[in-house]
Amino acid sequence: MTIEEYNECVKLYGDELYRFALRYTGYGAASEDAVQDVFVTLWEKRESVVTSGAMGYLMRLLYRRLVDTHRHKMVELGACKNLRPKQEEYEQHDDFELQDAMQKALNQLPDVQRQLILMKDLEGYEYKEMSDITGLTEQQVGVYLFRARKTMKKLLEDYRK
Amino acid sequence: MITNENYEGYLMRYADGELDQVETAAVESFLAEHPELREELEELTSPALRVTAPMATMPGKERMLHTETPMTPLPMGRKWMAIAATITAFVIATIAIHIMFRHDKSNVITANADTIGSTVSDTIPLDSIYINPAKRLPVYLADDNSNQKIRPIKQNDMYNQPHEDIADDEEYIPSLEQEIIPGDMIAENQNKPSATNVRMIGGRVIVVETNQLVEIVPERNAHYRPDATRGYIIENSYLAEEEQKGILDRTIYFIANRLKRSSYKDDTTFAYINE
Repeated sequence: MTIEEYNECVKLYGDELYRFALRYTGYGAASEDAVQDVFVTLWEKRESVVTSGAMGYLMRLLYRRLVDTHRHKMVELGACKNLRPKQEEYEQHDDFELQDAMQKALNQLPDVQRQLILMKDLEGYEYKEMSDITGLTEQQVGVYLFRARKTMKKLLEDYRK
Repeated sequence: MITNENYEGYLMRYADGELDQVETAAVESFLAEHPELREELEELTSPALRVTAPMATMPGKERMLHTETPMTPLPMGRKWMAIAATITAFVIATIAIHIMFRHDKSNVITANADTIGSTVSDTIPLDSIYINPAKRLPVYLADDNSNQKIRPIKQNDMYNQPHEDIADDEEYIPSLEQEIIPGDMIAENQNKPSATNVRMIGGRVIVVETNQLVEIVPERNAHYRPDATRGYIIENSYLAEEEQKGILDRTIYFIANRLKRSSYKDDTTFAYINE
C-alpha cells in the first residue's frame, strides 16, 4: 500500500470505523482513540497490507482494540465482577454522548453480541466474515445474534414505556 | 437436526439467508411446527430493531493522513561530516554552557554523576540549557522499513515549518552558528526540549542506554514508561508523523543534553521503533 492509498483509506473508512466504534463504546473520545490506533497500525504495516483488504484488516484491528480496551475500561470502572459496566457508570463519563434508546440498549449487550450486531447492521458482514474476525463458528454467531436481537427488542420496548 | 435447544442459531442464519437448501428446508419444517417462533423471528428481524449508524464524522481525521515521502540516507562522506560537525558543536556548546554558568549555579537545577549516570563527569546545569527549536542537530532515527538501518532526519522532516536557510530537499548539516544559543534561557515549558508539549505520540520511541534517566516530565496524555533495559519508551499517541518526529527530536535532544553525550552513535544511541 502506498502513502496515497493509505490516505485514501483514511478518507474512505475513517468515518465508518468511527461510527462503528461510537456505537460500540457509546462515547466519542474512546472511539476516536480506537480508530486512530488502528490507523497507526495500518500505517506501520502498510508494506504488507494490500489496499483491497484494508477495510477487513482495519475492522479486525478495531474489533480487537475495542474488546481489549473495553475490558480495561471495565476494570477501571470497578465493574469487573459482572464484566459489564452499569448504565449509570457510563453516564458519569464526561464523554458520554449518545443518549438515545438504541445506544442504551446496545450498551447493555455483552461485548461479543454488541460487536456482532454492529458488524451485521452497520457493516453488512456475512457470517463467514464475522466468524473469521471473532473466531466463533457461524452457528455461534447466529446464536449470539439471535440473543442480541432478543435483548435489544426487550430493552427498546422497556425504554419506550 | 434442529431442536428446541439449538434453534436460535439456525433461525437467525435462516433469516439472514445464510443457510444452504437442506438446512433451509429443515428450518422451514421446524417453523411449521412452531408458529410462535416464526412470529418471534419476524419481530426480531424487523427493521425497527436494526442498529443504525450515528450521524457523526470522525474529528481530527486529517491528522491521520500522511504526506511525507520516505527518507533517503546521506552519502557516507556527508554523513561523517554531519557527525563530525555534531561532535564539534556539542563540545563548543558544552564549553559555552560551562563558561556561562561557572559563576552562578544558585538558580539552576543541577545533577551529578550519581543521579544521571557515569557519563556525566561533573556537576552541570541541566535545565538551563535552551535549545532553539529551529536550530537543532540532526537526530538519527531508525527507519521502520529498513530493519533499523539508521538514517538522518532531514531538516524539513523535523519541523513543521521549513527552515528558510535550507532548501526543501537538502540534507541538514549543522553549522556551529546553528547550535545552542547560551543567551536563551528556559522561561516556559513551551520551549523546553523535554517533550513537555507532547500530547500523544504514535508508535514508540525507545531511547537506548539511558536507563539511568529518572525524570522526563510526562504530559497528561503521554505515557513515559521506564524500561529497565532500553531506557524510556514513549507510547500511546497518535500525532502526525511530522509531529512525532519533532517531539522525538526534542526528547532525544533533552536526554542527550542530560547525559552530556558528545555524539550520537548511530546504531546504539537512539532508535525510533515502530512495532
